Amino acid sequence: MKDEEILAVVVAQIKQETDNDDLAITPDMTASDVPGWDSLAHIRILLEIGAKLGVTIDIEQTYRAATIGDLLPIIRGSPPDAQSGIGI
Amino acid sequence: MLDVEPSLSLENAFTRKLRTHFSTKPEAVFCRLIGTDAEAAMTWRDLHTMAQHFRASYCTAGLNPGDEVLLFIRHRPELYGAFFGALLAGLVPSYMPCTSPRQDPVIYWSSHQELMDRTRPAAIVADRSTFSEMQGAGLRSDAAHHIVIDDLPVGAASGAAMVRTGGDTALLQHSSGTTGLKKGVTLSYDAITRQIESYAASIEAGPSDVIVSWLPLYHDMGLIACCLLPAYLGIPVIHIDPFVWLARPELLFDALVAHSGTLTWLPNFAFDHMATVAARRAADYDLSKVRAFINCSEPCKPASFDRFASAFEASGVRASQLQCCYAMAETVFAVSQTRIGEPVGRLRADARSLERGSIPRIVPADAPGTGLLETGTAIAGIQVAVYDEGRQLLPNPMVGEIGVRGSFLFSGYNGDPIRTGERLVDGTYFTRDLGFVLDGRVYVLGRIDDLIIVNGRNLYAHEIEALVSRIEGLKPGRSVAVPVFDRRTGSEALTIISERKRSASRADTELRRDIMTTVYSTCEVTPSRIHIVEEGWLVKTTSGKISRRENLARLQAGSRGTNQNEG
Repeated sequence: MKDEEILAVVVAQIKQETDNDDLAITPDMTASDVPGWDSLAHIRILLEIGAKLGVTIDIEQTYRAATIGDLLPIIRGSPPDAQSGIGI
Repeated sequence: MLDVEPSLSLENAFTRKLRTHFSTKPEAVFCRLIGTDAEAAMTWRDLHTMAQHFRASYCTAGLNPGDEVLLFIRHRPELYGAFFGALLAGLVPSYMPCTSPRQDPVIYWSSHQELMDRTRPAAIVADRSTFSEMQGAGLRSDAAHHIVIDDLPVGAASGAAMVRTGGDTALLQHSSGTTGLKKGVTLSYDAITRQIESYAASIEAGPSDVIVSWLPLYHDMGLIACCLLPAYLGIPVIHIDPFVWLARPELLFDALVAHSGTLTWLPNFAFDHMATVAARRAADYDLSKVRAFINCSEPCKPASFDRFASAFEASGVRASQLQCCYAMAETVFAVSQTRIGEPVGRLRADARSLERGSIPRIVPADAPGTGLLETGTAIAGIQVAVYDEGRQLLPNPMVGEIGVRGSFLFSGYNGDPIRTGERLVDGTYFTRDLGFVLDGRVYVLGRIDDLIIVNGRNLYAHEIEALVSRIEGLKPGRSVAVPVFDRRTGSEALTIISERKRSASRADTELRRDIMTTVYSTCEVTPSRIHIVEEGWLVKTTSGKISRRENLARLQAGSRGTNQNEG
């Protein structure tokens, strides 16, 4: 699956979970840029993305993502070796 | 039998009971701690040994009975050793939250300066990295001894045991308020043991029970129901690291199944959250042996129970397992509790009849109205009554402010006689909760004051507003924080409306990010909505105050300023 397709699902799920269709979401944004994205919402977002894409996401890996864009390889199941951020 | 110091005749019942457990069941499990990758059992012997090491450290530091000790400890055995060691040394411990991974440590620790200056603790207990964070943030706590748990000497305390009587202060409980302004609820040993004995009887807690919890110990529900109650009764606790539970919520059910758990306490939002995230595995769990999932610390919602029961029907969950409790730190914990083993009573009332001074008008279940869950009858030792705005008693079932009196009230707010005098009047604690009592059952409707409860955390709107007002580019004193109930999460969501200065050059996205970072780093709560509006947008009441209710209504009605910008 292409990153653009995964990103579209991620963006749609963030908007749905935070109930905010108006927010412009870009790959360089972090959880701190999205009101309503707290630890509980994070789990719900990722589980729903996993269900929609038919993949099992390693939730603990997602906490190492610095940005929304960094989530994509984790969702795809091929996380980079080292990421430094805790933006999510 | 473990050789421990003998009970002393004047000693309070709580520490006397601890000594009994130390000597009679040293090999029994006191607690199992579940962390990221491991599970560690702590026996009563282990607890006694570690508590003695801490007691020795406190003695070495020259601390005296009655001294206050703040514990900033992450999920590890020392969380318990430091606390019980402090009790055995006659000190007054208080659990405090550490930073979470997303919090800015500088903002978080800086916000503690007021708390440090006000409480002036005799000692702070933390690990080296936490002390380093505090130092990096410039937090001044020079008057306090710093006890570093990584350097804890191995050895027993010398000297005679410290005897604290039942009337002495046992601990401080900091549940409500933002970080720096937390209210320290002072609790005596007598109040704690009376509460535990009464509450244990109401839930029929006994030796065959096993408590499973992910709740932090700085919260009254975690501290009393899931730490002190089992410690007093000598029943084991399975304690999941709260941060690990956030990442892996299904651990709660895994632990209930693996350890034959019988009791667990959850805030209302957690019923919804578990139903969302763990329902896919419902068939994997057998939860039929759990005696009670007890909903507490947020208003209990019928829809949340329905959702949970439906999601986990395949796990054997029945309506009779879902229970409600009304509790607060000022009564140590429980005020009322529903009857274990029976479905919780429900009613539906015309929303207009739930105003203060009205009599609830009960309507059919399918009629328009507000669905309510009872929180049970008052537990033994406490009386519940309802008052009007002049604090005159109202006849049941009229709606008013809930007041409680009885044998386990707090002694006051630490160092705050004015606030204590406002709330504790002639032996009655005025809760600021709106509710009514019908057929002896307590119904809680919400708050009278500006308390906002987000996922079990208690925040005051005026404190959030003060925090936000300091942000560069926003107009000081021109922000409001309001709760909006979110049906999807089963909790209140925090909405903030802030006026930007006309002269401000900062972009709205920057302002929103600063609000998010400041509020989260100070309170560990993420605002759900942030609205940046033009100067003058917020409306005032006739008395000149900015009205939270009116501004929320204006926002919801869509009457927005030209530059109103939602995030």
